[in-house]
Amino acid sequence: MTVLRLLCCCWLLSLSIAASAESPPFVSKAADRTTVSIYRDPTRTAKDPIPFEDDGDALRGYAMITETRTVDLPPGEVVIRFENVASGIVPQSAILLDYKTGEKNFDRRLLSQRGLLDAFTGQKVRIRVTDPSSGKIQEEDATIISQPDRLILKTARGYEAIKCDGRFSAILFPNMPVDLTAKPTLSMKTRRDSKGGKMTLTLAYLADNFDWKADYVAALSPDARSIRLFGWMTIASKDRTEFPQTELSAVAGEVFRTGYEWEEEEAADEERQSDPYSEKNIALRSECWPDAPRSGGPLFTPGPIPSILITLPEPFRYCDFGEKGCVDDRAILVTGSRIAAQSDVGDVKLYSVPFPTDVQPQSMKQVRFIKETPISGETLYTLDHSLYGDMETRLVFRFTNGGKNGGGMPLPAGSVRIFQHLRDGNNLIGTSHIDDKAIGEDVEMIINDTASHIVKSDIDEVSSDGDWEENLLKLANTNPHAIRAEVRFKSRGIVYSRFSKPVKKHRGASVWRVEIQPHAKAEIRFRTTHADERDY
Amino acid sequence: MRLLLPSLLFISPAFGQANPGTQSAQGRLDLTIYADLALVEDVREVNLPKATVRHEFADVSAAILPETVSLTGAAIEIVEQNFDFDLLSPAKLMQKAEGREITLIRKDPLTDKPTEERAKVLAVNGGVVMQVGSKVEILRDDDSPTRVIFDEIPSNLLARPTLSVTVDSSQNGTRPLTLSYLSKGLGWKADYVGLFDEQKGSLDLQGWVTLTNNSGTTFRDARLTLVAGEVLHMQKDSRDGQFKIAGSNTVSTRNDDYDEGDKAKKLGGDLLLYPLEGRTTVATNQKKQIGFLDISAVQAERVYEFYCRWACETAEPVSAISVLKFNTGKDDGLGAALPAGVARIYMRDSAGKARFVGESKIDHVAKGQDVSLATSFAFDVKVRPTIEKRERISSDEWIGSTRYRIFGADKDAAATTAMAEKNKEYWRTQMRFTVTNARSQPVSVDLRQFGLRGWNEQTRILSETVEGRQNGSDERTWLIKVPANGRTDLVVTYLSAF
Repeated sequence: MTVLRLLCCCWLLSLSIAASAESPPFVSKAADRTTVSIYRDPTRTAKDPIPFEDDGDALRGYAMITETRTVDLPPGEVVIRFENVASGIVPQSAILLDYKTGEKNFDRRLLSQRGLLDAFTGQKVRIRVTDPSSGKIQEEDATIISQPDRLILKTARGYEAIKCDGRFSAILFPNMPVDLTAKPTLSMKTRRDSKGGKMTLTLAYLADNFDWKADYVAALSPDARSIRLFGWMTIASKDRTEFPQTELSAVAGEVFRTGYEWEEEEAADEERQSDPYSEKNIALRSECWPDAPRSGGPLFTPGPIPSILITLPEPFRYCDFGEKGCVDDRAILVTGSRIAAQSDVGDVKLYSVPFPTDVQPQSMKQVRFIKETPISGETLYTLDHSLYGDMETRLVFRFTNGGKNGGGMPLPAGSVRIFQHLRDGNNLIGTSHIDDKAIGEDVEMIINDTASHIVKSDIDEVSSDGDWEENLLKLANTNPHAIRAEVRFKSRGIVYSRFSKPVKKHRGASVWRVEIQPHAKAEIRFRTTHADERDY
Repeated sequence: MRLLLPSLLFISPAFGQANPGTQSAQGRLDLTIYADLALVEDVREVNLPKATVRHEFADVSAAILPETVSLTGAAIEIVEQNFDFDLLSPAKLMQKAEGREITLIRKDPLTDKPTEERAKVLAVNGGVVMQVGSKVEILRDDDSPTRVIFDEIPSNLLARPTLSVTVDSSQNGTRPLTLSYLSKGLGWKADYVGLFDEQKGSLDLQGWVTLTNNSGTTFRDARLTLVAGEVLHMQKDSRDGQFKIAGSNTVSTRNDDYDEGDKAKKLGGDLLLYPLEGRTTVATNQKKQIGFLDISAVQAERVYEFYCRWACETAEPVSAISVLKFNTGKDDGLGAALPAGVARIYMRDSAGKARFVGESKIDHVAKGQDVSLATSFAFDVKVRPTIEKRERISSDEWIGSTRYRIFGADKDAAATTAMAEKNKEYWRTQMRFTVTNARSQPVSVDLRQFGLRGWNEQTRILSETVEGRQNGSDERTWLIKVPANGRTDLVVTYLSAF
């Protein structure tokens, strides 16, 4: 086993010195600088977490990555091979900015048993056979004459299926094929009129398997008339490539990606199924004659694969607001100045982390992107009139994002945790979420959507006359303090009239606002007329 | 103990002078690639004697459709063609050895010396039964290595996909033979990359052809022609060996009369041919992209659109769609037809860095057509439609409002229709569209409301705070101008029969 492992390691090391005499590709091993901009999974709702822990599932957001690479090219047509790009690269999205290329290739043939056998089909190799009892080693020449899954070799004696004979044997290849690499590799061919020389190329591409999410923390003031709001962005990568000291940013807003049509999905699936280099198919199938010694056994015991470091995120801990300069060493270190800067690009918002940072493979990271901002608004109980069934009471905090209230920054969709510092300490009083909110928009955060036992509603039909009904709505405040409540009257197919208290029109609805004293009640009468509405 | 497990290792100790890549038997190749199919034309120099001979064409596509094969050349007549070979494998080799002799090399368990014997394979039925000397034995897994050596490989067991054709050759000598067939596993798509500069109002557009080859065969130095259009039904015309497409024009891989002014050549109905310059190798298990379009500074603009289906009320404001518009006409510098594909749009941020701002599908676009790419929802430009009033009206009021009727046939006809439908219910609906803009520049939103059914039901618009434009009888559009950091309301009152 030890021998096997050593041999495998040799291969991995050998990657770097692979070269060809004929048309040597220019190998660009790594980027000098990178930028990684992460786009949200458009199908994940604002309240859902990033499914990072689900092992099998890929993240459904993505990233746009740019890499600055220095190359020194010979003139004329030359293939540039870009190593260490993101493993989730969408090859057809790759371009060189400000440089014209003729051709791009994305090779799925990998350095593997299959790849080597494929590359040497029809060519001479050596077979080394070890005698298990004496340890004696014998070598002989052979030619590979069939395909990897059905290996037949021509030896001096005749034709043999050496993996079916039960001997301890190895195939020795004379050299490394230049076009086999450890990972699927992107390459581009320069144009015939390329002058060559030392230059800096900027490679840009999209890569799948990234995601990010906004997480807000809102501290409600003791009088419930304002909040202090700040936000984290949680950035996740399930890619296998590391981006050290990258310029990291996140994009908020909904950018379109084209979905697959059913046929395309099917075709892509078939392509994966039939691709001999896919993860599922790359291992060689052992095919021998029936009952052959070791038939069905592994051709080769897989060697040690460099283990991938998995940095699992620690559970996110929110600091107490009482703590000064709160730093939680299990979470991410945040200092006041290290807050992502916001700018516009097209019709979406860009949040750039202002310092270089590492994006590790299989990791999550949190950076502040909204600095703590005081915003005034109001806390109130809201109800929607319903003709059928009970009315739900919700406790909400409502504010206008900007103007004299404070705030006034774009708020990307995300979840909100609402805390309030009360006599017994800091309490999580609610978990909510918001959609993408622009400056100037009204924002409503639901603190508690099951508050029907705190502000009770009771509706009775007082009188009716075929066409209309006279209703009485009573609200009871069980709180030991005064509250503000708001009832919205708008139902499809119903015309409201004759309100006994003043109502305001707002967004097409009639709205009754009322202050209710501790343990007091308020009531309103109104008439409903069924409009026998047809669907519109 | 696992160390002793008989196993096969691959060791690749030397690096440097690599010469991998197998010799291919392919000749001069022309590939005409459709969305998921390819016509392969392979011209090989073949030396044939004056006789009836069998010739093997190795390295044809492993995904060949054998029934589409045709072979043409000077002084030959085809007798028969076969693609019914077995691919060489250990099991097949053993099966075909039935009745033949093989060599066994085993180790004597006592002396540990190798012994060599000839054996005759009697049968291969779920196990190999063989006769060694006077005994009948089963070749089985008894933990002792057994080396089996075959003297030869039967001629119908082939390592590579091979087509064999028996021809009557009426001449001696070498001549080009043209082998053509259809193959699955090859296809192409177009991909576009656009870099939009909003300040200049211009778009740099690159077009790439993405070729996929899953046919299991590498095609070396092939000349490529791509065909865009609907899925084809290929039929072989037996008389001239040419392929016909859905009974229309004949596809030829030559493009003698191809118009230099336009890269794409129209072919029959909706098919376009895109010949690519030069020759290229299409390797199997590879995605290859070849540039076919590279144009700078096409005039382009960003606009906002919002779609509303009749009474499209929403609880929250909804983002307008950000759309990039350009024209493929010659004036704007593009002057090319575009095959259908996916366009990815990038824009520069305030620091000059390119950022991805959205991806959109382009349909086949003819020269001079407008292209609209919906790239994203606008974070800062939103519309909230609300229904402010909805009430039943009398038939008289409906008839009285005839003069506001803005769609449908002429006045009198509408009045007559309304009278005749006295028992119908009519409605007055007032909608407010609040369009907000949090950007620091003014924007215009193209608000489109459809589902108005003006033709069938004579929907009328009594009033509108911004003048709209009728786009067919079912759709009305308003261009709403919204100041920077501001809002504009559109209030529309409709009379409708629904």
